Amino acid sequence: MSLVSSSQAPTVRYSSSLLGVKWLSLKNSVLRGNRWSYLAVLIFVLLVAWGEYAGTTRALEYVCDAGRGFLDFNRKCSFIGTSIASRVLENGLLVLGAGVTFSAITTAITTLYTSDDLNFLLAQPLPSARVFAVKLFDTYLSAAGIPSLLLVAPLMALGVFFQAAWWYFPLALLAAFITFALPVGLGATIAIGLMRLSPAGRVKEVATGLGVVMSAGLVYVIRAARPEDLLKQLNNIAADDNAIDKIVEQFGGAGNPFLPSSWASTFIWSSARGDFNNGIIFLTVLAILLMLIAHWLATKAYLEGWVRGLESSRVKLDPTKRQASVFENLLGRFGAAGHLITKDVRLLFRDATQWSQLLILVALGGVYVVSVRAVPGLDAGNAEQAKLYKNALGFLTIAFQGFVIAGVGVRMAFPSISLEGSGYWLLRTSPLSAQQIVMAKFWGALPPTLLLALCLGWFAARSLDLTPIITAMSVLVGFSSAFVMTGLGVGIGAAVPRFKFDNPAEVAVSAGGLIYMGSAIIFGGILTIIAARPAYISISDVRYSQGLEYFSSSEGLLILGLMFILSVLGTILPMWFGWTRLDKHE
Amino acid sequence: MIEVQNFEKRFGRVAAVQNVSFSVPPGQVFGLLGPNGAGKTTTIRAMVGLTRPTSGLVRVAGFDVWKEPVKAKAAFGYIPDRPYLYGKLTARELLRFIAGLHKLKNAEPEINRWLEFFSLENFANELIETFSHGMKQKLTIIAAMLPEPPVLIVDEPMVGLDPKAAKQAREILAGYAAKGNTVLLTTHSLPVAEAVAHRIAVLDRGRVLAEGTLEELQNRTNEERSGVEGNTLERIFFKLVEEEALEREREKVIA
Repeated sequence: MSLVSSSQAPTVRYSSSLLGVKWLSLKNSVLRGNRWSYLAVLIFVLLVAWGEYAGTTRALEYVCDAGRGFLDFNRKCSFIGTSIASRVLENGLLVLGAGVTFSAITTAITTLYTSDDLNFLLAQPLPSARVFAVKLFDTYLSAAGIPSLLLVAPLMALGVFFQAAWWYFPLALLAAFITFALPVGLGATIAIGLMRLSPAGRVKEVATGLGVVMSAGLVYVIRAARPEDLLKQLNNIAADDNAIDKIVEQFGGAGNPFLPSSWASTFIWSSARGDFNNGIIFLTVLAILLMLIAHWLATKAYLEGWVRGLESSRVKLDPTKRQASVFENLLGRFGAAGHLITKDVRLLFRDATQWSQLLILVALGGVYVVSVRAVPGLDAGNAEQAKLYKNALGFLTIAFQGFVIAGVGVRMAFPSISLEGSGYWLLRTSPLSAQQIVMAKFWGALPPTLLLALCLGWFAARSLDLTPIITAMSVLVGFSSAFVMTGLGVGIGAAVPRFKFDNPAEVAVSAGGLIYMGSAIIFGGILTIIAARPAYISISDVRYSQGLEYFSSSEGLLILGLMFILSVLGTILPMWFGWTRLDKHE
Repeated sequence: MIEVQNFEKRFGRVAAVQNVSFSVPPGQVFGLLGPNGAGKTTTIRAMVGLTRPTSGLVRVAGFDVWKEPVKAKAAFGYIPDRPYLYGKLTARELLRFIAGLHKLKNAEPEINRWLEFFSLENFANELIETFSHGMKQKLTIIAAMLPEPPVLIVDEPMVGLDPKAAKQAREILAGYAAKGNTVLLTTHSLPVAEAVAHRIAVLDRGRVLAEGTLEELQNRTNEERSGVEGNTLERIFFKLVEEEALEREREKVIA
């Protein structure tokens, strides 16, 4: 027997891959977790994907059949159907892209500069640019992961519907991920600058505040400039007096040719029908360019920005015996729930990563309304054609409205319990029932969501000058969506809380977040199906085109009753489920 | 009053705590000692409603913590080993929040008294995130004691406290029990347990090795009082733990 001396022993090399460590921790948590829960999540995700696929196919069949009587020059899809569907895709990408842009900077500041593992990682003999690259990947997953995944099934459905060539499918997937990589690259680049330049002591707060204002400003500048107006002018010059030609010019042209979302939409739409469009090249080049800029900046300023972020503010001692504020006393009258809401409001406005969510909410609503108003071709054609187009578009915005509110809910209502974080023990060991905690979170998250939903419903309807029935349905759907999606968010958030996270943005991209988004979209779909009948009546039946008499008919009352019952059940049942599970949580 | 009867907690196939029983009457400080992983924190978490017992009964002030949680929680104050508090609230706001949850009336004078007691009055309007670990621990103690609950459950109370605050904490615990309240504490500091606890249970690997007053434990382990403060319990503790380890070794050999 011979012993191998240490000098002869084979050299063992250990992997220092940071992504490998991430993968390992994910694998460990999956292997040690409850496999039945993972199976349930997988089944749910597949169901949502199937729902999206089937819903998109059905919607395409519906809109492609619309208006076949006139302007029908495409065998697969009527012209008006093509226009509506492409506009919806473009607006969808624009609003989703705006949402990702808004959250990307705050998410980037959190993941890049304040994650718990940074102390460890940056103390290791690793180049900070390598750490930055992994954190950038984290930022992408947190800010853009869910929107990208949600886009996959509809894009596949689009390809199958138009019998697209094989190359469409991988390129459409690339477009889904690249479209949202742009705002993430932009957010990371801005975050680096802000963390480097903000005043010491309040680096995170100032950087986050400025970041949100900048991203909101950026999107508004792009929207307020209304590049589509330029297009309209060009079209006006080019168009002759023939109304049909004018509609063709305006309906068929590119939507907003200066926006990346438009490049993505144009690429997806053209490619699905067999025409390769170079929008994907612009998108990819721009995304790579932004990532390269971010990486170059990171090597220059990342480590310094992180060190500045660690510097705490200077304490100015104030020994006065401050009394409770009027607001605190007022809410305190509602008992424990009131005190809980007071505490949450304080935390919201003092934590830049939380109050920025409110700003995102307002800005998202603004972008939505501006985008609806800016749809090209709204004033084209004769009055009847324009009205049909507007109301069809208005009906589709009802469907999309639910999606926007779900997007807000996943950032506000869903994480509200999880954001208690390691401090949850304080509530858990206080004389409060799980029901009281869940209800307090619901009442805290409802007002901003309801305000946004009603504004979206009302302004979208006013902007498009919809029939009174579709306007009423738009507002009612907003009302119902706000209650249900807040209840759903708080309920699911309570059922599967995640009290341990490196940054708050991770909560939204958990399995629970995915379940919430899926459930919210399903509910939005159900509401849209219910709203379809009154919308159809208001367009097709002249008796009901000018007033709200339809709702006093037995059919109208049935629809209102159905919406009411669904809203009550959709709000209460998830919360009941949530507080029952939270009560058992260990 | 705290009652723990045949408490068992299993995580899958692993039994973290097995068949633990003890009771703490009003007016007493009860110390729960044991090495790391002995099951002290699991037992405490079951008492405060953070862990559901696999079997057995846990009652605080006469209320089953899992059947009547709100009543039980109104009756105890809990001081955890790690003071996670809301960093974006000020100390005063946090204490008013606690007062609100416990439905206390006119809590301001009490809040001021406690802040002054722990020399935190100058920091009362500062965000908790700017506090040191020790300051947060002091605030956690105030939060638990502000509602004056009849039962106090304390997990490692001295972690992070400076010597003055540690002495204050010891005096508070002893004084609180002397007023007729019930105090249960876990600690790694054997001198602390020896100084304040009326009765002590030593846990190891989820089982109670011994329980009783210091004298009863001495008799059980045949240890003589050494005369050095704190040494007695330390020797009893190590003897009990070593005996348990030897017993396990014997069982392994037989098997």
